[in-house]
Amino acid sequence: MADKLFWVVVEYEDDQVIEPSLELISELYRLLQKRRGKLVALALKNDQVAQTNKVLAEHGIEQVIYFSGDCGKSAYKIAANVADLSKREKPAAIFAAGTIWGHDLAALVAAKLRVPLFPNFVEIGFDEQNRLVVYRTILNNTIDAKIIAREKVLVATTQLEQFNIKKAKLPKVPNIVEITKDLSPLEEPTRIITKIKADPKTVDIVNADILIVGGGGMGSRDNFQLIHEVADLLGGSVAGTRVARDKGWITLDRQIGQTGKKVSPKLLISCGVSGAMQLTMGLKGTRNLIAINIDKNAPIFQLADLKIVGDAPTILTDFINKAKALAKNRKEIDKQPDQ
Amino acid sequence: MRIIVLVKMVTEIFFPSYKAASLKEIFDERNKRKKINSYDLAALEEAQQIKKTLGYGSIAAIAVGNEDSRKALQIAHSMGAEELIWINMAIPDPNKINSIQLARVLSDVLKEREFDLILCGVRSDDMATGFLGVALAEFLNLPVVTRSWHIEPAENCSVVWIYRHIGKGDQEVVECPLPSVVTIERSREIPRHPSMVRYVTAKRKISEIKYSLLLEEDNEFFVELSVSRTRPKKIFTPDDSLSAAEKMKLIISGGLNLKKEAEQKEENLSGAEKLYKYLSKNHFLPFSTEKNH
Ligand SMILES: Cc1cc2nc3c(=O)[nH]c(=O)nc-3n(C[C@H](O)[C@H](O)[C@H](O)COP(=O)(O)OP(=O)(O)OC[C@H]3O[C@@H](n4cnc5c(N)ncnc54)[C@H](O)[C@@H]3O)c2cc1C
Repeated sequence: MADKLFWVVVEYEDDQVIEPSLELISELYRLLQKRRGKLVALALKNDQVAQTNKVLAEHGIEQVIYFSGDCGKSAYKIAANVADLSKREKPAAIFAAGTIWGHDLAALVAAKLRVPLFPNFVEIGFDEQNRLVVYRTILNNTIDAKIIAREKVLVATTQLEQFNIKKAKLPKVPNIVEITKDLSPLEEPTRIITKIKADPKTVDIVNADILIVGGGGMGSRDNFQLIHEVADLLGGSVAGTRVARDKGWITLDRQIGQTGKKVSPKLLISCGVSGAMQLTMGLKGTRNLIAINIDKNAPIFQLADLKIVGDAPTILTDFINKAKALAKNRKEIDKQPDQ
Repeated sequence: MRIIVLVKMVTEIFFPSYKAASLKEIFDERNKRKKINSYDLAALEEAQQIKKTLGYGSIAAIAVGNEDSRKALQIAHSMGAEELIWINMAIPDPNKINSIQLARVLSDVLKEREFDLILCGVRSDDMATGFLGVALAEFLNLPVVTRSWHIEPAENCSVVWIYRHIGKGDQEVVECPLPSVVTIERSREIPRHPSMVRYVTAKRKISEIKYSLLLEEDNEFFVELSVSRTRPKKIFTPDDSLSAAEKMKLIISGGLNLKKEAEQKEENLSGAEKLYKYLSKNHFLPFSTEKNH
């Protein structure tokens, strides 16, 4: 019997495969360990192909089909091609992560193939007859719907934050077969006019790209104002530790950690934060961590990309002054007519 | 602008699944009630807003299903829809019907009509599939845009500009030619209060299309329902290949890798200078002369 073919449409952010895609791949890899099946990724070709191949192979992908061409991240173009290709290759199932983009894409693929979409599955397995089964919850999470695709392809997305990310047990020598298909020629009926970034002052800290985090070491409400000033300068959002919340410097919705939120910013500057485990549990997705603490043995320094030992309010005040001066300079340079 | 809004009644369950011994208990009449889909209310409101912007236009509401679905039309009328169309067809178990079947029925009816814009909720509160709008657009061969919260029509009604959410609080504005299908996540204004008089008078206005097809469970896709059980959510688990000590360290740090002691070459720099240099080098300074991130 031919191996069952499972397709995963991979999603990126800043050219990196996003966690929800890896959650999905990890779960499918786990599922296929005791069964015969082939896990194939479909991805947009970007400048990081080598890195993408490595990450995908590490999590159990055996083959990658790349789409190339200037199409931004067009779900419309990718879906049309995935649907087309699937008519020839006949995968047993096509999956995407349950993000906004993943859902749009899966819906378009399913519509083009005239099959239903089963979004946000919370469990996947095989039944006694070796048929693929997915479960999703409906009616306010009170009912489990068990779904089996009898003949046609199953198109489904995952429930976010449901499955663990695990690397493949026996990492195969990455056997990546690239089949490249150019997406450029397809006409898209709609056109993106503009993109509007979320306002860092009001965006949920879970979604913030830049976070300035203040802890008990900021000392007073007045000093905590410096955190807001730095956030304004860098276009970032303000967050804090439990101590900052207990002191009333931030509200609960801005607290990071075990009893707060899990964040994943590109940049996080922690100021007067000790780095207790209950806090660092919320920092997993952080890419660049700068720590400012007066105590050179503070645990937060073990996680920091840049360690600054010193008095946080003083350092922030100096930084704000320097940055403001430079920003003013920059404005004056910009005002000068080009030579 | 001729706008069509798809509306439906959804089932709301009050009984927690962990207390339920059987499906029967959950579906007991005392534990559930019917209400109009909340996203459809937003779609009805947005239709009114478009009409207000243009100063003209018509709104027709369409519902598919048994007698129950007439209620959705009554509510649509009380919120300003002028024309009410009821596709009367039997659906033995709505929980097992998939949107592709519904889309097929709706496209059959809509093919015969003239319209500029079809609005529907981004998903239904009960089944949460979020697929009907996309499937319908595919059947009618129309463009589709999902998750709108504001639709701005062009004066000559040739296009609409749709503000939509794309995650992380970010948005985009999409230009979409007409006719098209748009799924609605929110309306720019809170959905208006229904008018009681219009609710009552709606009954007389409903025009019925009898659809002889019995909408039954799709044979290709078997669906079985059971009481939902609790499942573990994602937790952080370190790599199997790591040593026990390394795993422990990772768990304690919450998954962030411990950083090796960096060489401190720039001892003479002040804290603020170090901070500035790092941010500048990594393109985090919006006012730096270097390239931004
Ligand atoms: C069940 C439970 C759940 C918890 N959940 C959370 C949670 O979700 N989030 C959370 O944050 N905490 C949580 N905590 C609390 C956590 O254990 C820590 O107490 C808390 O994170 C410490 O906050 P902090 O680092 O701001 O303050 P402190 O512990 O007061 O540390 C202040 C730090 O600032 C430094 N400092 C002092 N003065 C200066 C200065 N002038 N300049 C620079 N640095 C200075 C100190 O060296 C110290 O490292 C939880 C605790 C429990 C028991």
